[in-house]
Amino acid sequence: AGAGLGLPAAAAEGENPSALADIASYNNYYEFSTDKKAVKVLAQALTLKPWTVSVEGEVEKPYTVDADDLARLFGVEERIYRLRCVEGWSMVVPWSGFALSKLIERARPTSRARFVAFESLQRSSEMIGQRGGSLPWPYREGLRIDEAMHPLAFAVTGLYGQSLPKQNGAPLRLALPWKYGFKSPKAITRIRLVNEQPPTSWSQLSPSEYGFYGNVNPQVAHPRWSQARENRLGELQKRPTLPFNGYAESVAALYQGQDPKALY
Amino acid sequence: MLAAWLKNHFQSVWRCCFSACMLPALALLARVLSSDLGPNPLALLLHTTGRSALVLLTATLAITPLRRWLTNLSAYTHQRYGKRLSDWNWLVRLRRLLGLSCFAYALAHAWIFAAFDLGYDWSAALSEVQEKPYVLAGLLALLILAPLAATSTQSMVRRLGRHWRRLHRLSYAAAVLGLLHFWWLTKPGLISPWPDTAALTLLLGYRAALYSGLLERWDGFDGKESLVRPT
Repeated sequence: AGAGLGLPAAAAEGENPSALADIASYNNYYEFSTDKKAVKVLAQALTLKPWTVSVEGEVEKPYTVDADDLARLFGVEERIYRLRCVEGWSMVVPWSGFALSKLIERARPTSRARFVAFESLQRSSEMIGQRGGSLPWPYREGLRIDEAMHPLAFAVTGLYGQSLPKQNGAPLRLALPWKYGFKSPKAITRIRLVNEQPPTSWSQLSPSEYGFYGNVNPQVAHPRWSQARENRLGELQKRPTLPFNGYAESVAALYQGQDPKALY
Repeated sequence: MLAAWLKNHFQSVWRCCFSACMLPALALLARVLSSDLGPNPLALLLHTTGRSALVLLTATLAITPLRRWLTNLSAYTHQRYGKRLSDWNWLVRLRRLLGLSCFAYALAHAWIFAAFDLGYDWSAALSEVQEKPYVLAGLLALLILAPLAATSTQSMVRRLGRHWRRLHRLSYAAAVLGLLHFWWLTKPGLISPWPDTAALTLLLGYRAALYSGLLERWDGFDGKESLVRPT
């Protein structure tokens, strides 16, 4: 569990996890639909087997792993994380999976590896949202290598102790609790270690609204709406949003010398 | 002829229209009572009330053009009834109902925002209005709708005379502000405000063409007189 990390803010301890029914039926997953409720139905069309994930690029030992072997290679632990969406809602999720650093370290990144680029599945025959141009496909995300290696960065394979539902990003997604939800790609197929900051889907679509970092910051409003408060799923009254989504103690050191206001 | 039938059953038409206006509110109430507001109750409440207000404002603004278009349609299709503008006067009698329903939803929308989003924190409200265009646009739309609702009674229509029409042209501004409010809240790549945008562009564009005299070239199409004069 998250408490075993020895990081005081690692887990959302003392907070009630959101209901599984909510977590698994309120999904932003544009590969299927821009309608959060439709995703649950449409995502069932996705074929999960076979599924491989490759780790390549600026590494000594590139490798490809079958999604079925992830648990055997990297183990499984549970972490209860808060998730804050850039749209202004949030939930508390009991994820299961393993530290993202394990997946990356296995390939032995070289000194040229400064960023990590993630690529999600592109398969418009099953992902019908990809037939429209809502976003540039495949979905791309990226992290600085120190962010990706941070102990909080989590590779997710399960939810509530069960395998990950398709609508939540099966078989492999990320959970980066100090960043807005769009920074955590779903259905990952390719991880590339790169030297330059990689392009990311949302910042390609609208650079003024979505930056590369996407760190949760109540002080920096989205250009068109406030980020000061959030809607915890299941609650009617909004609550204040915390800097780095409440994980500042763990991750603020990553951004020393950088203006946190510029890291949206 | 349908128009004649509808005119003769105006009471029923009005009741149907009233029920339709109440439908979103009743559906919401049913969900509140059965604690079935879904994962994000606040978003559902805000979206349902906001969208209803915009749709009803669009319906209100459709009455006048609709009357004229239906008159022309009847004339072109050689109907016995409906080719005179006055044949469609009963449509105008629905407009107050639509407009007041719109205002009721807009008011509910603003109250839900103030109560549950802001938590009645007025300093937060002030900074939102200053920083965020969508809050300002929504607030302005509401401030415009308020005097229109207040002057909607028969006695106010009579008392204001020709000024009433001028005053109520402010509803065009409210519609544009409401639409901007919607667009500013929508993430890029989403198409949900498009139907509202298309409908309002048509309705307001028609009026703009009318006022600028663009339609005068087509005889009868400006709606000032029906195609076939009553003999």
